[in-house]
Amino acid sequence: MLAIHASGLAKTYSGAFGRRPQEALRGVDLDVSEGTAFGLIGPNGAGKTTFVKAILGLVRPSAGVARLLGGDPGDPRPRARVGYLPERLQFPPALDARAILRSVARLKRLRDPEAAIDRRIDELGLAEVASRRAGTYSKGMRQRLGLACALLGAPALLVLDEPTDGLDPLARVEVRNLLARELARGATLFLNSHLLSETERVCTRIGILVGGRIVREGALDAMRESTSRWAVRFDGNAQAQPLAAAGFSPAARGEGWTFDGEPPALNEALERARRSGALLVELSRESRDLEAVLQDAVGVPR
Amino acid sequence: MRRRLRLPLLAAALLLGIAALLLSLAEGPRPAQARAEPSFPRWLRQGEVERVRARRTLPVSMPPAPAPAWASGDEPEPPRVRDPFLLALPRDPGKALVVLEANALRHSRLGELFVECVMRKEGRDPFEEARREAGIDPLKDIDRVAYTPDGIILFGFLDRARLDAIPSRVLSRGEHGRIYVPDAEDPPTFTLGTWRGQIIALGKPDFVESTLDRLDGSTAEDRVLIPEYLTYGEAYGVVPGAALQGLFRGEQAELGARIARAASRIELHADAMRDVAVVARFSGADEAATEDLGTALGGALALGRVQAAVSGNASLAELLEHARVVRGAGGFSLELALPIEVVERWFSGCAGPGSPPAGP
Amino acid sequence: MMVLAIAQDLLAEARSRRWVLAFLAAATLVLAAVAVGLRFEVVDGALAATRLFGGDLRSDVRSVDVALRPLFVATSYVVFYGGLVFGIVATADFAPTLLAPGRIEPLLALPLRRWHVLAGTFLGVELLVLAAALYGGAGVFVLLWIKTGVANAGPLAAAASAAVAFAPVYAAMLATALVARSAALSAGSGLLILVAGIVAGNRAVIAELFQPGASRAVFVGLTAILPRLSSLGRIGAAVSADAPVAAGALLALVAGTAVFALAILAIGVDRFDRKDF
Repeated sequence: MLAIHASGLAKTYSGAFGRRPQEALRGVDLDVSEGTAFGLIGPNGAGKTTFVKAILGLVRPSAGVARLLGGDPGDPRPRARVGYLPERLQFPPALDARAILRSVARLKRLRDPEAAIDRRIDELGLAEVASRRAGTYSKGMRQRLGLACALLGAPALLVLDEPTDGLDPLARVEVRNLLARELARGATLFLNSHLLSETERVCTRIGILVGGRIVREGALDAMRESTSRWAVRFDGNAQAQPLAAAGFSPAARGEGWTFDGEPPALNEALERARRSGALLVELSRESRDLEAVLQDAVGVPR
Repeated sequence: MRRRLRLPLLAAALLLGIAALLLSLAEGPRPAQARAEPSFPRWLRQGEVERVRARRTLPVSMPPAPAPAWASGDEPEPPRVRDPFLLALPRDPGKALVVLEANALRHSRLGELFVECVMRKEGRDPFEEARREAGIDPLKDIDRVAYTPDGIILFGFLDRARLDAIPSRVLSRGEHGRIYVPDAEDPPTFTLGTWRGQIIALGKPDFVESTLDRLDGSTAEDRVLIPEYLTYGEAYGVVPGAALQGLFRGEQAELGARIARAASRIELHADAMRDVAVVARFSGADEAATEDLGTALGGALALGRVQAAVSGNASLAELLEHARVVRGAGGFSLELALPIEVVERWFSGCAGPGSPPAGP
Repeated sequence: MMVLAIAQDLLAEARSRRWVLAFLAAATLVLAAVAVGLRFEVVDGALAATRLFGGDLRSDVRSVDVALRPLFVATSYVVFYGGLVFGIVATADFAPTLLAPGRIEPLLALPLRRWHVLAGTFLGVELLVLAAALYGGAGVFVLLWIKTGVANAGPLAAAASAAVAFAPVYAAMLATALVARSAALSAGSGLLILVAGIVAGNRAVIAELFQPGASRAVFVGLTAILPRLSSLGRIGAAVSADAPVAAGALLALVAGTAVFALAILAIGVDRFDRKDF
């Protein structure tokens, strides 16, 4: 089953006081299967947060269809199985972590909430501050508390907007491990993060949103692989000049060479290198990082 | 997206209509104005001030003051103008004295009810009969009446009184006075005195004589019992505390005794133009005893109200609701009001001849 | 259930706000000071003397329940209007805070309907104001009952009336917060409804100040739908003064006020449902 389904999803914010209307989403088609970890990336203002809010029923789409765990986002029933962490997080400053988690548990109608609350407090390292007022929390503590609220009740779908924002590197590792455990129990993860390295580590599928449209979408590995760039290694006797003449370029990082071209041109270049005395040791398609993928998608020259 | 019917707005419009309907039902007829507090007579009011001035018709001479050494002694004292009725009143503080402003009372609601009741009970008009027989119309000719234990004094247009019809000897007293001594008794137990066709005194012989003497100016002008500034209300008077003792019986007898001991002078004033409101100002030589008396009276009134409510006497409970003791310098005032509705209820029981008297 | 849960959270948050505690402490101090400083001497059911911090107030000696009626009437009005003003000031920022970015999104992502949030907030605030008014009214009731033996329910009636009167006031404040997330505007709209309600409660008298004709008709028409808040204020005073209160008219007044509040809330629900967060 699809955890998230969007078809032709559009949202235009009407301009108030004479301002021009702003098109935040321009027909987004996106499906996220249950049990996957999906990362939505894109430049600022691409519409990522609007998309998240549209699938959660926080904004009303101007056109198109959004489905959440097979149901209407406006229906409370599918939302009972969703855990949401927004980008901006505020808590009642006068309440402590336990009181806030109890409130969430009440609204989620959890049975045996105290056990679940204790578990999440321990998991997210909030035990020492659980009795302090939320108004005294640092950004990192608020983020941990937000995660605890989202994770409460073992939701089927986790929608997390910048989940590691404000966390130190060690805490980020903890959160990644936590998310991996959630994935392992069968939850679906929908991640919205500017930290591409985090997204790469956690997600298996990526969607790139640019200007309110999905420009690329697919498995992370597939997107990172280049169809026309090759990584090549020759033995130590290879001469640089004949290799350059054959069309190989020194690799940007580390040893080795790269070749840009389709397989027929590659084969011809390899033949010329072999004739010059270079012996092929290793050949593979070059894998790009997500930053490069994003740059390509947006059309920014590298 | 299909347009969704905005049910909440429709519901809001419907609810506003229902609210307007319910709120209009809550208003109903305009509530009656809150009942005005009874008007307690506490001092001379404007109309009464003018009344006092209008009544100063009798020039009197002051007793000659001691002449200064440089005076020649030839200049006459300027005449003072006084109200003859007040001048005629007895001056013994040990005896009760109550004045009714008959003319004002006749125009009050209480007066109207009283006259109607009398005429209904008698089945005839006794006031017309009195006019025919005595020459005095009680409802028109009598302005004021003073009651004392020794006699009564009438003031008004009394020159048409048919006094010659009474078999009596007529004696002159002073310049304008006449005394009618009935032939039927010797010595007489009562006599009737007249003065200038304005005043009739009726009572014991020495009472009548002293009344005419005060008017004649043949008694020294010592302090009058009711000076002008106390002539407010439709009824007023001065009584010694001992005079009220008899009103308190049974459980209240001790209170009556305390009044007699502590209150040497009680000024009474009653306003009866609509509600009947009474103010009794108590004063005495011992301030502490007087203050204690005020507290005791206030407690007695409160207790009486509770007892009346418990026993189902709603009229008395309502009467005592308006009762209070107001503390002041040198004594206290007891204020008591009888709402006109209660008075009207009392008089509503006033029926034909032979019927029991109206009242609580 | 969701509505009650939201209300419960609001009350928990209110309870832990320091200034609410400070208000309660101040009110308690005032009551305690009056309890210590005000003395009544009751003799045979009559109020013989009233002393405030030792100074004799030279009151008249009369039946204590009659003598204290003006005090109870005044207290009723203080409880009623004081309760309303306290409610407006104390609760003006609840809705704007709840609707703040970062607070409202996770709430609306939970399994509840938007009207649950509105209704729960409204209910929580109503309970808060009722509790505060009852605290003041009951405090005065108990205090004077102990001191004088007179049990006058006027202040309690005034507290209940204040809670009823606050319903349309807060409904307007809530609806305003949904349009413009501002505590100041929210409080302003509450005060506006309060003033309008006072005018509406005296509309028969005020209408006579208008020339007969269009202006009077417009005034009467506009005020016809407004809740008669000053009439609600007079209920506590009537109970204090031992005056009769017509049950039918009272029921219609309370029901009409409540229905008006529901109407405003319905407008708020419509606005809330259509709002993007």
